[in-house]
Amino acid sequence: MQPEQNSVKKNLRKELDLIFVKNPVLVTGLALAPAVVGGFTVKNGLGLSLVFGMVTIPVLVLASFLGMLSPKVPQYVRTIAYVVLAALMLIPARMLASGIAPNLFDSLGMYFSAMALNTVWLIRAPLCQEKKPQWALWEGVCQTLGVSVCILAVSAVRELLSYGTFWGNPTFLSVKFPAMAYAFGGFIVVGVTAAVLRWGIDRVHDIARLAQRQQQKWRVER
Amino acid sequence: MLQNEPKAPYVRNRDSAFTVMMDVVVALLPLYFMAFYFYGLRALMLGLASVAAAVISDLACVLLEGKRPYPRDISSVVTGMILPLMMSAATPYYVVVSASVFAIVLVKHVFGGVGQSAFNPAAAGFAFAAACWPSQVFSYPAPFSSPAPFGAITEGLASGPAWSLFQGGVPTNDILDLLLGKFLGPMGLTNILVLATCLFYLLFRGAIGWQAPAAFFGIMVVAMMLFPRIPESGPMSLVYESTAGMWIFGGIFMLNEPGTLPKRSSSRIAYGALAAIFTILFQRFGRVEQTFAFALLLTNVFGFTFDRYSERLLRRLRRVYLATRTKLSEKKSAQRA
Amino acid sequence: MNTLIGLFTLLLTALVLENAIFSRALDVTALLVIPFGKKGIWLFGLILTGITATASLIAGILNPVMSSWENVQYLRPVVYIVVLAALYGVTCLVLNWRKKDWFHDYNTVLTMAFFNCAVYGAMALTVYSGFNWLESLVYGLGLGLSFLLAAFLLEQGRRCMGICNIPKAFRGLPAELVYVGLVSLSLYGLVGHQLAA
Repeated sequence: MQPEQNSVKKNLRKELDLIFVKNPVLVTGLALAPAVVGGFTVKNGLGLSLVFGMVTIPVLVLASFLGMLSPKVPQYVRTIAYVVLAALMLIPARMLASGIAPNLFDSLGMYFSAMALNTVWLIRAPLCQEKKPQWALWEGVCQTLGVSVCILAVSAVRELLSYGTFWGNPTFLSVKFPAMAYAFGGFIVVGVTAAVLRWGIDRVHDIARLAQRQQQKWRVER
Repeated sequence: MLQNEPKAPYVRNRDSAFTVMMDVVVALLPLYFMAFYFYGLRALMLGLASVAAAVISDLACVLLEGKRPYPRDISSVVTGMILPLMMSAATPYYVVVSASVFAIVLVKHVFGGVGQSAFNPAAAGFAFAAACWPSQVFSYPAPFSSPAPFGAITEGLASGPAWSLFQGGVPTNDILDLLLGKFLGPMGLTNILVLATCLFYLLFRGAIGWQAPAAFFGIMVVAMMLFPRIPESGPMSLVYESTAGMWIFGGIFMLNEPGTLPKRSSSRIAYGALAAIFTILFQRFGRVEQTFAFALLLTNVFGFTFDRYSERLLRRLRRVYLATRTKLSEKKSAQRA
Repeated sequence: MNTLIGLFTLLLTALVLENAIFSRALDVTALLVIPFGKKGIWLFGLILTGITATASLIAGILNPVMSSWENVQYLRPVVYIVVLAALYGVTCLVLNWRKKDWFHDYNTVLTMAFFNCAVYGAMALTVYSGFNWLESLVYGLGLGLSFLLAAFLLEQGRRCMGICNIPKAFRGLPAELVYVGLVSLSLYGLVGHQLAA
């Protein structure tokens, strides 16, 4: 294999880690606020993921373009450019969201717009300045996927527990925990989900290690 | 050479975690007897369900963590026994069971199991139940109405004197009934005479220290007498608040949980005082009928802080004391000379 | 006198009942994750308090102007964030001019303090609650101070968790999230049945 292709594959795989192994919300702990409070129904979770993607991907791409500017431009000027772009992206995001569910924006309140100032792009954008635009785009997509996986999982659990429904449809659950829709329920569900994810990753690593050892054994036997 | 009960060689006390917990269980039994007397079989069944849920979830957590189960650890039994006593006798079974599972799994084992919990499991379980199902937890059947042992109970439920106190009104109950515990209230903690007996039993057995309850009850009684929240005289306010509220039971069984209580006597006094202050503030400004469990959760945050600061403070005081003593002795010797 | 009492009540409300962390979960990331160092979190909280107070004051002044616009609910977040960015730019320029060393050291802290949910929340909540400019200022101040209160409570919690034998899966962020959740549950006794939106 050519070394160039190899590095492309490595880059692709490295960013794909963001979905589970380095999940931005559950493992790194970025953008916790909307996951904790905003996502108490699956519809809300989908809306939040949507606005996250609409804001983060353009900002990261812009960051990689601004990285081509001369290094004399101070960092705070670039940050202002990112902020303004993020704020402007809120308008189309909101139009799209009202297409999915008309009262989505009202139920989310300020958490919808607060997504424009999420910590993911605030921390990643300065690092994306050294990247090529296509890799910045790919990172934005993977960050969005990671955040969406977390928010959708958390919001599905919270909706099932607090209202006993899924996407507004009643389910088989008869016991409801209404308090799970409050902030403290969000904290606890996100914390437990993070712990479960970490436990699962550890087990997968264990299995992979075992398999590797077994393979080595077989090789020796041969 | 493995002993049943590993003990450090410098611990000479014959009390162990097991005997202390057993004392608490023994002290909780008369409360269950009172609950059985007032509400029949359902009270006992609720207790059994709660204890079973607590023990099973405790076992599951211990096995999940990869430890070996330790049969002499009965702290989950204590948590399971405390929880239903604070609720109404007509509480559905799922409320009790999920409260005790919450207490054991998310409060006790997340922070490391026995003796290391950052929060009181029973208080957190009750707070969770009160936040989720306030109408089930806080609506009580009449005493001697013998609710059906199984199934849901929806009829004949009403709110008790705690609700009227919460609304700022004076309860209409008879004083003798209040003192004997014959009124609409939580299933096991209406009779303050039995509760007082439990307190003295635990103090006499050495299962709990005197410092935290003394500070807590002292401040609570003074506050209830001097600043009643209902238009009544001080002593009457004290009678109403102490019988209807949960704080006497909590001050005996939940405040003194060894895992969350500070380890030094001076910090225990401060801890009890802080718990009392939070309880009063929560009573005045809170929006929930029984607020002791919530106030205790907030107090637990400071449990470890008091130990740290009391150590620093005592060291500083000792330094000042030594300095003044040497100065005084120098002065005396100078005078003599 | 009545207004003074009202403002004090508002401050206490923002500090405890509508705590930025425990009941609104704004800016949890800065509290739990960002490594500011030992004293850094207090500096961050102080800067954040100043910014929330200023930003919500500006929002309180802008709100009556904006209320007559068309499509105001679309434009309001954009205007808020652009105002915030302008404030950030002015602050950076001034600091770069007068205190270059400090700005070089604390550049990241300043950026994190300017652009987070707590500042945006302080601005947005002035509209939802219909505050005038003075109330907005007090509310923003209270929200910033409530972050400091939460940082204080979490510091106690971290010390306590340091000596706990927390299971491996929960060590670190998950245990802290559960801890914050339980403190939030305790404050629920004060807040009662209402959703933080």
